[in-house]
Amino acid sequence: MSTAFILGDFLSNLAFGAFIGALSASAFHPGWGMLPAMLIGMIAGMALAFVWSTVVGIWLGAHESHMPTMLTGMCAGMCISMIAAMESLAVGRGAQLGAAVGLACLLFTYAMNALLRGKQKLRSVG
Amino acid sequence: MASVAQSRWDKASSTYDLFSRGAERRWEVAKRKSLSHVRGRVLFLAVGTGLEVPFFPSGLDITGMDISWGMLSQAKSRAAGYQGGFRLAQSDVEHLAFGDETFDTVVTSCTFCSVPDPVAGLRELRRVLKPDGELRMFEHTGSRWFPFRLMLNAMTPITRRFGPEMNRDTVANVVQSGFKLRSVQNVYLDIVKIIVAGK
Repeated sequence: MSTAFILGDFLSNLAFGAFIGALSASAFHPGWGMLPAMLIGMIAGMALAFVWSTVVGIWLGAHESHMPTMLTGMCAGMCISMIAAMESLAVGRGAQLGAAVGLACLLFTYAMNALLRGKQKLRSVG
Repeated sequence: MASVAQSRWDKASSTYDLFSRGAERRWEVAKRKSLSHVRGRVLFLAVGTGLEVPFFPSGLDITGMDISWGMLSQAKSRAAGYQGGFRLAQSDVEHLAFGDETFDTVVTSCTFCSVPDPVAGLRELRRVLKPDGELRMFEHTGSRWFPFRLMLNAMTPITRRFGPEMNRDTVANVVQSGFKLRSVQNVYLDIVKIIVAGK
């Protein structure tokens, strides 16, 4: 995989994670119930990730951008909305946490790819 | 159903190169490697705008097929630049206009995410393939792994409105249509695969 793709994957996930983190921190506050905040954050994160990764996929490839970005949207939206519903969370801090979630999701996807790619035993597929 | 698919891909033909260029760059090495095994008389579907034409080894006799006239129109210049025989044909994969056992190799590329009845389409490919021929597919499929399975299932109701389904079990469809699997290689996660099968 070329350096440009790796750099693009990292920039895209960090930026999108930060965006979702900031959005979640500004949308939710301790007056919200934790469960609805988590659900709304998760669904909105995945929906926005679909749009983001469709655009970014022009340069990075559709699947390679959709999978980590949607995971970032799901996890960052869910976790940071939950935190914001429990305690007051500054937008900047939300963005930092979101970027960290984006990084973790990308690394998880890379690790899964390393495990899953390659020739498969035929009895284990289909 | 075929006319709906034709209309969708005709509409998509003007922006297809733009939205596919990242994926094509990412997958170029794997596609070139897979296509280096192609031999004899070849049926290639769906040829699209011909982005993969340069990935084929030179000197083959290739029929590039697509359901969309818009795609075929854009593929003309790339087909003309191929160092070998490359003709283009409009056809629906479920009703191929070729005789039984015509081709040595059938190649597909991101095709069976969009074919309305994938098993019927694959049975047609089996019909036109010679007894010792080979089916060589580069396809994206559903995933067996959480959380990717969840995300692909969530995306499919949206993506099927403009073309592809993201959660098909194409390996199972290949087996169900009567092919015998020779190899399955995951290119990205367990989603993007090279599937090789024979009769």
